[in-house]
Amino acid sequence: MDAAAEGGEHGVALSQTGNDRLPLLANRTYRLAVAPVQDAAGLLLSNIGNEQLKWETTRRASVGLDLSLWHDRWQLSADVFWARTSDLVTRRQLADVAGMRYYWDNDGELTNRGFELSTSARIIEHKDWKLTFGATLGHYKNRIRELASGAFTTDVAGATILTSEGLPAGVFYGWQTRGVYADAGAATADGLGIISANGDKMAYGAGDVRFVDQNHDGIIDDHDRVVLGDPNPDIYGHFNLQLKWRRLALDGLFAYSLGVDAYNAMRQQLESGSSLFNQTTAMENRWMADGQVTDIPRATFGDPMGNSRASDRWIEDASYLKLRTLRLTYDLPLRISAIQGIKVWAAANNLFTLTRYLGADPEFSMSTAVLCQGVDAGLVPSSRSFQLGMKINL
Amino acid sequence: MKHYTLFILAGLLFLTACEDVFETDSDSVVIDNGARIEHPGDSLYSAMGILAQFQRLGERYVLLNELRGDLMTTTSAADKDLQDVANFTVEAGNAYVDRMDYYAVINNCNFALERMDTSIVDYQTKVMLPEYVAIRALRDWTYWQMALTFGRVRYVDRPLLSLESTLADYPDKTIDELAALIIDDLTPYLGTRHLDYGAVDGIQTNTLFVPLEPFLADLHLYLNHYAEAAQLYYDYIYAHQLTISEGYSNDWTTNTRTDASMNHTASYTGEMLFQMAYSSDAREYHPSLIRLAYNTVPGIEPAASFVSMMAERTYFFTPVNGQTIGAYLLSDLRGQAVNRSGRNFPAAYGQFSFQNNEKNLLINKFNDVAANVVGGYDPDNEAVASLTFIRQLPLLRTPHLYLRLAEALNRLGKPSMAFAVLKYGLTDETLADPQKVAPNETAAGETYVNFSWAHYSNGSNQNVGTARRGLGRGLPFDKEIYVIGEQPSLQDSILVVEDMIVDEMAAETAFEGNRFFDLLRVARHRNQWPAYAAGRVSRRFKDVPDAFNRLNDAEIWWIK
Repeated sequence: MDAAAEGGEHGVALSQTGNDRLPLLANRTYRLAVAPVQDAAGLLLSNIGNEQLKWETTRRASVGLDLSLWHDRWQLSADVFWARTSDLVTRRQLADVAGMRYYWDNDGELTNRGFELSTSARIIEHKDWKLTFGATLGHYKNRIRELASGAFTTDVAGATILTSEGLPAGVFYGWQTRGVYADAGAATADGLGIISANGDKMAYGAGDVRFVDQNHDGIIDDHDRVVLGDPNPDIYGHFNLQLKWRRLALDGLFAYSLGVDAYNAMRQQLESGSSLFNQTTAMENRWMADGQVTDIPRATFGDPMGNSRASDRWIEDASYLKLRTLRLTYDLPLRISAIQGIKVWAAANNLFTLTRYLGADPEFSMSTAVLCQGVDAGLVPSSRSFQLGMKINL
Repeated sequence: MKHYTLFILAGLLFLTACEDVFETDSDSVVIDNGARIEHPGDSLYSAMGILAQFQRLGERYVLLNELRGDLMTTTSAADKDLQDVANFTVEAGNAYVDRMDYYAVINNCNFALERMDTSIVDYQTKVMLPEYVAIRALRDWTYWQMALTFGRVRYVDRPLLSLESTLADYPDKTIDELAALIIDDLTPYLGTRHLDYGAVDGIQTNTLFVPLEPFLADLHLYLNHYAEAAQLYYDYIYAHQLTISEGYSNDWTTNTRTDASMNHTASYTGEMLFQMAYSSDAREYHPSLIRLAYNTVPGIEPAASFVSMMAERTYFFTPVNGQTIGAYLLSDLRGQAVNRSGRNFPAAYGQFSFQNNEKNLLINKFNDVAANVVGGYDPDNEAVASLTFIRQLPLLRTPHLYLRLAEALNRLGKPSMAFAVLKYGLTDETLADPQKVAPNETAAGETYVNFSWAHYSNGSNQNVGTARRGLGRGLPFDKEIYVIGEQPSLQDSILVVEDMIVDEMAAETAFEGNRFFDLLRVARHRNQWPAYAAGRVSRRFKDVPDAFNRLNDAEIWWIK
């Protein structure tokens, strides 16, 4: 068989783009309406504008290679990219004389490096039968290179996101756990506690979460927080198959993402055991009796010991393989000159998802903001749907 | 060419039709474009906006000034930051060190002051001037509270509207420098019409703005300018015809302490001259003073030394229309009354028992300014039957004026007249009686000793002594116990009366947020700061000598 590469292209691309999704009116000083009492409207300074604020700039370089083999039966392409985003838009603290806490500023640099591979092949190329296959695989690594004002945390729907030099953007920050104290003796042996608001040490007891005391000072506090997970996937992509028999075609599109951590903020609310909100059936396994071995702590109104705080209890592996679309198409045989062709099709979306993630859908997005990636705040998931359609080419 | 022309014309049309795309104005905020405040609505909105921020200072006003006094303390259930304030062990990370809320008021005031066009007139009336003065006074009052809290302020008198301006250096002012600066700043505006927008959300808006005369009088009093202070207090009292009414008294109804008539707590709002007001909507911001004070697990409580002092005072029982003392009973009823059966009648504080049947001594005063949502509940407070929140926080009442007038009169060498404010009330009859007020003290005829108004001779509105409200109807008839006594010199009389005024301020205005300022002023009058205040405040600590030694350091009193 003559397997010569018949065609190939390589390319280099350089680009510079701006991200103009600045916080609304961040560069303007403005007043907002307030009401000191009912029926009284007033105006209050609510933002000190930073007129030097500019958009984030991303400089990107990529090198690509495209190959086609065996009379274009098999195509391969590879892209490697490096991107550097500077002037990250971040919140910084104002001096107290401003009478406000924060302002928006450009501060910091982020790099993104990765590659994307894609392939497509016409496996069977017969008069009546055709089978094609396509796939992509992507990987990237981002790192925060510079933050002039130092590391900071952001609270997003109960999760704590750490932004720090040397780490990827959007990592989860919190406490590690090692199960639940089965009895008072186990808790006493550990000797751990928290400092309450009034300065007293409150010791953990039976049924409380066993937090990891990172600095071994006997107190579980902010100094014991560590990076818990990274919402950036290790690899991601999709693959598709199309099988055609004469006028009938069956297409399947699969999407996957591996190595992505998610913060299940919904479970944090529905398995906290701390409020009057409805709870999931998982709470039937909460600690209730001395000696009970479980990983769900006791229910305590108000959660004084912080058992439901931002910890690895809510971090899950959100890797998935999803059959995103399955479509059956039939090309109607027509002999009408005015119509080039009519296709009728039936499709099903999100037919099944293979994942260990306990939330409604591992493919979620709370918002497009970088710091919100990986936080599942319970927005409406992608649902299974069925469609029928017709396409008329005139 | 024709085609290109069409395209160019279309492009121009597109640009002109879509020019609003390039417009960055907003309908949801008011962008600062340097515009002047020239319309009545604009100045009103500025004033209301400032009040919305101003009300955030109320809780701090009460807590930081009372916990640095001798009347209130924290419990072990209080937030650690608050306990540190009460124990004078504040460190850098303490939440109460934050000045942002104060500067939020100041920056908004400076914004309005810079933009207001006070030259706009309607005939001969400068229409913007009342708002201008009211906002200026709010700013200066806020600065003064900062100085009383932190000991010094960074003084900024223009709005900070850019990043660069927030990073600039601004001068530091000590508390003494600030007092003089504010006097110079506001004195020219005395006589300006006081703002009054009528009633809004059930609140009389004229009480939301700083009354100039009393504020300036306080500053003069702080600087030991006694004559100026007395004159200003008097001017305000006279202009508003203010009296100390007997109607706000707590009295035993019998000489055997079986029952009591308790009306004094109503004076907390009934005699209010200046306040911070809060929305009737429970979802809006309100101070947490009720949750802190009146709770099954309170964070603040009356100091035991204060409760003891009040309990040990003599009550002079006289029946209605009586002319002699019928019985000598115990306790100043403005704290609480406990009858012979042990039943408690709360006033500023009292004994309360809840589901656990334990009796707790709780501050009751804030319940007088509370509103509640029937059917609602507060998960952090099992002591209240519904969601209860503060609607008003009085900052100045009629007794404050009279007692500070007494303080000034005393230091002007008129101790018996000052004492008359406490015991007899300033009336024609009192001033004419040499047994009550020494004639030499009124002989010079200063304006501020002239209480001979027809209004005050009217029996139904006659001034009474402030102490009568807690020490009984028979107090004016007493000649042995509640007296100045024979003193070796005028100076000794002044010191004795001053101590009685300080005790009377405690009894009459406890927990209202003025205690630290009261102690600070009197200590300065005596040139004994902080020793005088340390002597008083140390009494509420377990180890009194140790507390005195610690508190005898001036720097420890400031939150920093």
